[in-house]
Amino acid sequence: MKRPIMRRVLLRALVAAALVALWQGAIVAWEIPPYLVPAPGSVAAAFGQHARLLGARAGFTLGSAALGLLISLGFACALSVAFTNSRVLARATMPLVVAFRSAPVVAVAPLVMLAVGRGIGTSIVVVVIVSFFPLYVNLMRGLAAPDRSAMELMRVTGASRWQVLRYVRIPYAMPYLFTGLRVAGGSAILGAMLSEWLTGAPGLGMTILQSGDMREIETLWAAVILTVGMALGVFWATSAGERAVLAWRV
Amino acid sequence: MTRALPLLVVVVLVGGVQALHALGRLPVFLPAPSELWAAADPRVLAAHIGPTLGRAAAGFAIAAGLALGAAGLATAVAALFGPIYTLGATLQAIPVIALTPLLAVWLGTGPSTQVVIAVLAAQFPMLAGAMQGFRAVDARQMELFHTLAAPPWQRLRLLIVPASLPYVFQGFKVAAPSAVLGTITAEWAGAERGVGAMMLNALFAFDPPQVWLAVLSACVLAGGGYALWAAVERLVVVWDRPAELAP
Repeated sequence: MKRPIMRRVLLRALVAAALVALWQGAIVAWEIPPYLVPAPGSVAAAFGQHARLLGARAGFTLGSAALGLLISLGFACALSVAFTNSRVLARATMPLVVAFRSAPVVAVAPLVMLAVGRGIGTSIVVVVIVSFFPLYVNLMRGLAAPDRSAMELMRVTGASRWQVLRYVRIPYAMPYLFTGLRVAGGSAILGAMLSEWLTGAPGLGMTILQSGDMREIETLWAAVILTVGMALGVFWATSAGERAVLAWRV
Repeated sequence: MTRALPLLVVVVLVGGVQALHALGRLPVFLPAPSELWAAADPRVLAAHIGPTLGRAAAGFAIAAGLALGAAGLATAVAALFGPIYTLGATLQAIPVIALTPLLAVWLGTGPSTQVVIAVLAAQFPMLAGAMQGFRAVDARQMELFHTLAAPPWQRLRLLIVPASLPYVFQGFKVAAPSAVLGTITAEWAGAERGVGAMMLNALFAFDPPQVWLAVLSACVLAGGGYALWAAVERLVVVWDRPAELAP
């Protein structure tokens, strides 16, 4: 088990190194001036120079994304469990759920900001709205996933609703939960950064916008690379969590 | 009755909000319909909607040309099918939020940045639709054309276009709203005018009616893009309906 992980990490490091080499090579080959594309070295220097600031900004964005995701997950879990047990409730709230899905962030974020104001509150509410639908849909599908024989066994042994949920529905829903988390995690970070553009809250999205305006090209690239790293990190974290939780299946 | 229901809901909602306003029970951030109406200055709205519409339309048109061309190339040269699809999907995956400030540095904060973002936001649905459509040509019909030695032009006109148009329109319908929304997002990163700029200005001035007007404009533009292509599809594609396309 250990060796493939090592190899994967090594492979990713190699790919990253190759990308940096290509980047440096392109700058040398086409003589791209530093105000268009800075050299990897100067971006690394910007990382070092602004490490504190970038760390704090990334922490703010990650924090608001994580908090929003957590709240959204709570809502999605509660609603999906309630709805798998009551069809009437499910049908009554369906239009609301669809409205959530089809509302674009571009339209929602300004209204949220009007209501919640500047600061982290807007980011969190926007993240909740953006990440709710993928979580909810996947949980609904997961809770309905158990195969017939498992459900029949539960009925034969006279299991209560709670026991069906605990021993059959929830274990079966786990893979779906992680699929939802992977989708929602990416859009949570994007949603948080987009709301920072509106509110001016001190996160990574704001840093990208500001350094672009100030023509601090190296900081801009450092922040963009940090964003990509964050998105990849969320993706890998959910994948690793999935492997850890689903180890019993193998 | 069922068709009037959504309208009824809207009427009840608008009436309810107006009634709450009359009672003085509305929160500050929720303007009454009458206030919205009073705040709507056609000249101001046009000054912001016009640029956004122009940029989104330009981005959509460029993306449509590129997507159709690339899809044609991918269908003609089988070896390019995979790479072109991957390229489109990769471009789609680049977050607007990381790209816009870079583009603003490269191209300035003029309309070109927003148009490029609109192109990027709109290209993939059209590319995927066109690639799927060009491949949807029935193999037996293709053989018939081959047997009858139909020239390439006839093959295109009588076989490929009719078979692929429903898919192409499906792509257009998805791409039009995303071109609008992409443009507005790019306008947030710096634009003099446009619906996105209107949102930012109104938020800074804490002017709830203007914010709502901007948001409503964004929704109307995005929804209008979809409705436009749905209407064109209904006019053009008279020989086939997507519902009958089930394999």
